Amino acid sequence: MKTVPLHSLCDQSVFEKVYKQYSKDLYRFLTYSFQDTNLSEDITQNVFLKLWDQCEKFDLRNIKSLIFTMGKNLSLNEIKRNQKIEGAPIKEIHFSESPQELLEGKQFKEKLTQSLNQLSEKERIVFLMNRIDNLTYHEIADQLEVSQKTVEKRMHQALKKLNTLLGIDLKRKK
Amino acid sequence: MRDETTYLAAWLEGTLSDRELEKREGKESLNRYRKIKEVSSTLVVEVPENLNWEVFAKQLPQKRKPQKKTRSWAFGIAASFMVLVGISSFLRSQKVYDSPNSFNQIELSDGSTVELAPGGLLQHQRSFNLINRKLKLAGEAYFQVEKGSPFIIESPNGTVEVVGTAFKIIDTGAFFTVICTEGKVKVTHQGKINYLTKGWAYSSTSEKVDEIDLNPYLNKSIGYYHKVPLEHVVGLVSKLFNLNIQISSLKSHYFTGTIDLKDQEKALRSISLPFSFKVIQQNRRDYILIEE
Repeated sequence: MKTVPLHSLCDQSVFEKVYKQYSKDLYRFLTYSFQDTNLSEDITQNVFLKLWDQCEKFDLRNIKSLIFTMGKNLSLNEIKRNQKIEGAPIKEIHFSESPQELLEGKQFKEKLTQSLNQLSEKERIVFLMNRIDNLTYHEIADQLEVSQKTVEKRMHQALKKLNTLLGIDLKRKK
Repeated sequence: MRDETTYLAAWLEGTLSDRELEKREGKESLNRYRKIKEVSSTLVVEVPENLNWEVFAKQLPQKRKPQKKTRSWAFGIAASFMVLVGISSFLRSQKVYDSPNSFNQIELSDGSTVELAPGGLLQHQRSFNLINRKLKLAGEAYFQVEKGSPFIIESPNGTVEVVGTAFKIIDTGAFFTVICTEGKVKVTHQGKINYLTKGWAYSSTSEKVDEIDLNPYLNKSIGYYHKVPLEHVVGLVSKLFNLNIQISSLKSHYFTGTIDLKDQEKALRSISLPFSFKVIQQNRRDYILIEE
């Protein structure tokens, strides 16, 4: 007879811990990847509803990797199915600072946000996981299942492009 | 010697000094990199409240406890076979609702309710439950959806997907509109996705999302319509009062306003007065609306 293990995902208290630990990370990760906050919200909910629905099938040891893979695959399927997603690019990314700071360098901040949209998806994900989630290169590599060297190269490219894009814009203004 | 492909990443994490970076990139670039580092550290992504555990947990269906299996191996196979045969024919069969000449109040097995307008047709698999919530609609219906897995309605012109909310759909084949009265609704029309929140509507005529006044929609004794083809509203009144109404006009008319759903005379006035139509009664059930 197959029994439900003691620490199974089907146990609601375990499921709650998994949800609290990974749902927000998944939402942000999908937002960095696909730049559509509505899609990220829907997919995050769908991933966890599927996990709950089929909880007996999943192994808790691989749960983090599974959640991110499911999130990415469901998003790609959704985009493929609908061909076009209408959403403002990373519109939910804001800056947290005082009103005085808001006045200073406003143009630079706006241009930085615009420039983030011109990075490749891979570069943008690495940059934002480091700057917003405060993850180290090692932790990003672990989550994306790539080498640390690959993460460092993507970060280097991201910074190089941002510097070029922001430099061109400042020259135009002069 | 620093790697040429990663030195900026090294600088960002503090293992390459500003001086070394300045040697490679120049003072102007160093200043810009510093600014990028400083400004990007204030970036935040706000996570929506719907993703809080307390909100999300309400959508989770309850799990049943696993039951002991005590039957023999052979009996198990036979029983499984019978169950499989039963399930497949069960899944194939559809449940269909219609509403020839009245508003049909339907309560679905997940607790959601549908008010199907006259002439509407709604169907779903008999296996419809909190996990599998897909329906097909032709015509007009108002939905109040219980929390659960995604609730998906396919109609001839598009797809509407929600988790827990209330909204109205009209899809006549030639015309498609969705009005959100609670929560959030995802509408797919001709491959384009639009998200509606409370008080917003999508129409296939304009192919865009507009803010609307919800109050008239929430009054159940009247039917409120906003820029809907007149033919649809006339069809509704015809079915509701068992009449045969024809329109004699060369123009396409769009109806905005309310219709009394209980009084035939008032309903006829609602669909004729705004367009200055003369109502001619040919016999007890046949009417013609003629443009004056």
